[in-house]
Amino acid sequence: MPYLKNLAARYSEFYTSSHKIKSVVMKVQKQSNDTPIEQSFIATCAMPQKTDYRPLKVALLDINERLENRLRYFFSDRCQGDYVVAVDPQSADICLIDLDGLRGKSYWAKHAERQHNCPAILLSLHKTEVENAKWLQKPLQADLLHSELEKIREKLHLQQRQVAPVSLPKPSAETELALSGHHQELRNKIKSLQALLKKEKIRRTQLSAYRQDGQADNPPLLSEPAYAATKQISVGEQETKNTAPFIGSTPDVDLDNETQLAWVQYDPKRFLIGRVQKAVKLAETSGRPVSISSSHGSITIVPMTGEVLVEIDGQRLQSLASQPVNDDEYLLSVQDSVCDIPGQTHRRPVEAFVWELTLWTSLGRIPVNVSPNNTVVFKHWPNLTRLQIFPQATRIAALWAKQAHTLASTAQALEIPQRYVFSFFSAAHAIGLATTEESINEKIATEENPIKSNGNKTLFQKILRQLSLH
Amino acid sequence: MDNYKILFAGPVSAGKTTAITSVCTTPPLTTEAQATDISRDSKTTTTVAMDYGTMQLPGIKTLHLYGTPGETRFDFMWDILSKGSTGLVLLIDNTHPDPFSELHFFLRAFKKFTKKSRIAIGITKTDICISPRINDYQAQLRNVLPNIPVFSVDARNQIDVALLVEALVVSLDLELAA
Repeated sequence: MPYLKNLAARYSEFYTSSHKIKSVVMKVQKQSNDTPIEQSFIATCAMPQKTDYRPLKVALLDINERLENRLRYFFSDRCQGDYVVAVDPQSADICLIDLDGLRGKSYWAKHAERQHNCPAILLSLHKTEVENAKWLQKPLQADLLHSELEKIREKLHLQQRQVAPVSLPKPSAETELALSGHHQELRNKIKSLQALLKKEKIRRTQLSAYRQDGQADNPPLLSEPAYAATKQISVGEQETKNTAPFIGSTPDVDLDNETQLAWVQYDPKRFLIGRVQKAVKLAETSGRPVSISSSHGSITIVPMTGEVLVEIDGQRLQSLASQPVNDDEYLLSVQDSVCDIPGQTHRRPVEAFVWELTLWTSLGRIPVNVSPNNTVVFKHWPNLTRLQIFPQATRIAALWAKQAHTLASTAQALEIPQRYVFSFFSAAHAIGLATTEESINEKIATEENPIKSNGNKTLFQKILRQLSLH
Repeated sequence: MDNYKILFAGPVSAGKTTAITSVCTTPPLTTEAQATDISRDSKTTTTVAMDYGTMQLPGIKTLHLYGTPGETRFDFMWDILSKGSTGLVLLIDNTHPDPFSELHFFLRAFKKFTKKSRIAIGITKTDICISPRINDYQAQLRNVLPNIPVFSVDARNQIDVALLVEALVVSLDLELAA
């Protein structure tokens, strides 16, 4: 398991920084042609270039929840992620203190005593004279705050620029040897980054090709089930390539083996989809828009129109969907009115959004609380023309509409890999169309009934069906 | 089974001719005539006898698609065309003032298909009128025809229509795809 955790962390790290990789590689490559890498690399770090900005951590001290939510949104939207809320105030680059809060003044007093190198912005309703800090009047003006934050950023970069050259050691024989090793290390790093970029490019090309296929003149006729996976190898390979973003590539497992079962399970609560489902429920019960804010952008559920307003682009969302989330990464907040909803967003029906996000998260797995040996209760067919379709979806729906099956027996009955069934179930489960229950008579579920085209059933089977329904 | 005869039915202006034209592999045969009665308000021509086209499926299957006239004065054609049909694609116009009554009317008219759940329902023009929603149609069908495919369909969109036909065919014969 430590290996898997490590792998997951690396995977997550890669995706979160993937948009930065290209610029870094290009920059380092370009500079390696002109100047020694070490010097140019250090010089680049010291330059206050926009591309090199790391998000500055802002500690929010005695800031009420409402203002905190607004600030989080402000940082991600207006400031485009240049600033993030610091989890640990000790590690913050900037402090924002509300002097009107209960402990605001004592925070400021402590801060003034200890953290001279951490600039502070103080907020209060009435004018306050302070030294070594900037004061802003409440209610807070977005422009003023942004301008102050940018001034601080410039100041911090200037300090960095002054410090950086001084910290350079004088090259000696020993250091030159060390630098040559470092040089090699950097070259290796560039190579590995290039390899990662190449892989990512291929993955994105496949994804866009798949998306285009879905709208081109080649309709998903019979969802390619007629020439299904196992029978034609070339089609099977193509299918795997095209559908991997939605159904993953997890091989079939022994579902009676608990260890193997764990490989094909995931906990939705640990992913973005869990937050989205929570927000959808909250929006439905409150009847008001619910926003999920993060440094990546916001997702707002609007119950009145049944739509989701998404600020995050599709590819980014896809990578976020498969990453486990931290507790404070996504913040839910009920909006006062529709006016609070940001303008630059993509509109999508809630159902289609949840369906697709689940596919990206599930990748051929099932939610952790679902037993594959329980009978699937299928409410009705999903509106497949308005959802992300993938091979075998119509066959699975048709089977469940006709006969009671378990997840395990579905894959066997249709002679398809389990991941297709698991993906379909996960997505249908997420939009409330499928669940599982302990069947009274598990025979129906586990029995490998031959599929009859005429749908005739024996009297015994009919009785069993009745028993299982009532 | 190598061949399927699929019937497209539904009220005037639901998009039956358009849907068949969208998915046919060859130009379909149509019997369009200038509309002279109530249907003139919604379109200039209307089907007076039938539409016919074929749809080739990968492998061995050929689908023969027959479109019925929407007007009730041509309902004698409904029975004629129903003979030998394996499944029914019922298209309902969502902009109709009372689409549920249209739905139930056509389900009664094509009772033969409802008995064995050989139906897939396409709700058209949902881009013009979003209500009722698909879930509302499913609720209407819960006690009459549970668990049949009901999709939003743009009759001009090949993928939408093909997916609806696929859902019907797969429901009719799961072995088809195996």
